[in-house]
Amino acid sequence: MTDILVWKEQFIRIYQKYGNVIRPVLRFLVAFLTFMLINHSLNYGAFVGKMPVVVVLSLVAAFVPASVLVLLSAFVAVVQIYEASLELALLSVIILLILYLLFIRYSSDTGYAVLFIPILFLIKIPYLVPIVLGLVAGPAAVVSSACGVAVHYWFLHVNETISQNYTGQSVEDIVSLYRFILNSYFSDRQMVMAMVIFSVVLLITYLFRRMDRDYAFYIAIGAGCVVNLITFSLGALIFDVDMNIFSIFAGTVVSGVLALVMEVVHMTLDYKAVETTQFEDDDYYYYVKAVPKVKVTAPKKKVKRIHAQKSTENGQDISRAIENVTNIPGAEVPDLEEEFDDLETIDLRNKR
Amino acid sequence: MLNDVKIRLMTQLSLFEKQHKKDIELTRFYQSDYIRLQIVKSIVAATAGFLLVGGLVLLYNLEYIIEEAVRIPYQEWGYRILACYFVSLAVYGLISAIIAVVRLHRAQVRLQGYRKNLRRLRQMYQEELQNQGKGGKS
Repeated sequence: MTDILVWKEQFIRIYQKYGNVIRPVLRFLVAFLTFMLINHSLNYGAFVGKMPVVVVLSLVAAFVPASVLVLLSAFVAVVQIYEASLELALLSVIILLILYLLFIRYSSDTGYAVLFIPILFLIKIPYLVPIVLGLVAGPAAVVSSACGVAVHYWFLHVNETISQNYTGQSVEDIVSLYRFILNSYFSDRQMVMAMVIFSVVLLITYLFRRMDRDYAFYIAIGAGCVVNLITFSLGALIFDVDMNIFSIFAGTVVSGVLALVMEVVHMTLDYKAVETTQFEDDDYYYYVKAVPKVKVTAPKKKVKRIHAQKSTENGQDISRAIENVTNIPGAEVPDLEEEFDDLETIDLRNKR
Repeated sequence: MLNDVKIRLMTQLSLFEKQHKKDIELTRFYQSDYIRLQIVKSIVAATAGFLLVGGLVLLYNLEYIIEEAVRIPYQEWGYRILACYFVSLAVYGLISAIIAVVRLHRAQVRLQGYRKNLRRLRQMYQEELQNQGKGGKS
């Protein structure tokens, strides 16, 4: 436990010192993975699928706000679809615009869920997002969560439609293409079920998180996972939807573990970034760098020694006290003079 | 001569302004103006969304509309579409008004400490001026 705390302090120091480099690198990696997964899922040979373009877009995403990453991801997806079908690309833009104008703009704080739910669906752990949103956001995040599910299923239906090779340039062909995809999309019971279940998981996690008891966050994660499993199983039975229960179970377990790790890291790190600011008054310009204090904790060692009796030059007995230093992780370094104030002595003379 | 107390106060104010830019921006508006602005933005967005949805519905039913072009009761449909439009405007306007009120209230709570520090800083400046005035006279 002591080692973990020492590592925690060292990690915070390193992050504070090199945070300006670490943050863009992490954002680059997240953006790179996001674009790679989108290109893997919508692989229609567009220029955005080429590695140099992905790297450039990831570099851009590393230095801009998170909302730009959502826009870039939408751009990459639409360009890939455009390569296969202009009509479907246009329809995708319209659907995304409708979702933004009517829903996402009212929960812009959690708008990143609209990107991460489709991405995590590709690696089978989308259940992480409603659980995390339940821990960090409020009930309004239900809107972002539902929109994320809507976006994922839209691209699924686009893939399906493209795979069926709709051809023809006439107006009738285009209208029949639109009718087909809109019909299949809006009558998709699996999508509606997923939206409802994600909303329920989010709300349940939120309610448990707000409980006034110890380990409420961990109970909330557990409750979210259990509710997710039960509702998906029941939903598959009730709505007669074809779902891989094993995949849902495995995905839920992994999502729960990841949510737990994220919560533990968030709670124990207690990281505050170095802040810089500048201002002026009538006499001076001030350039201020505020560095949060990192408490150095050295473990206090517990050593119990029993010394034999010693005598001074005057013949008096001096019984050495037992050093009694406690080994408490995170405790401050003791003042040795104070430690010798109340000490026990053991006289070994009678015991021999 | 550097005044430590004043520097700490100004640092706190500056850090707050950096971390809560949106809350500071809200202070530029009267509350009613901010709520009206959010409602207007919401109405524009809802109108654009309604037009897009209408376009999709039109596209979906294009065959039927072309076949039944002569028999369609346009006036009745027109009234229904307008009614749906105004109801959706009202709903989205109400939602954005509620969100704006909640945001304003939360920002006001966060800004209380900031305003208190501003008053303290102003008081310190006034005391400095008074001291300078007394020093000049003597």
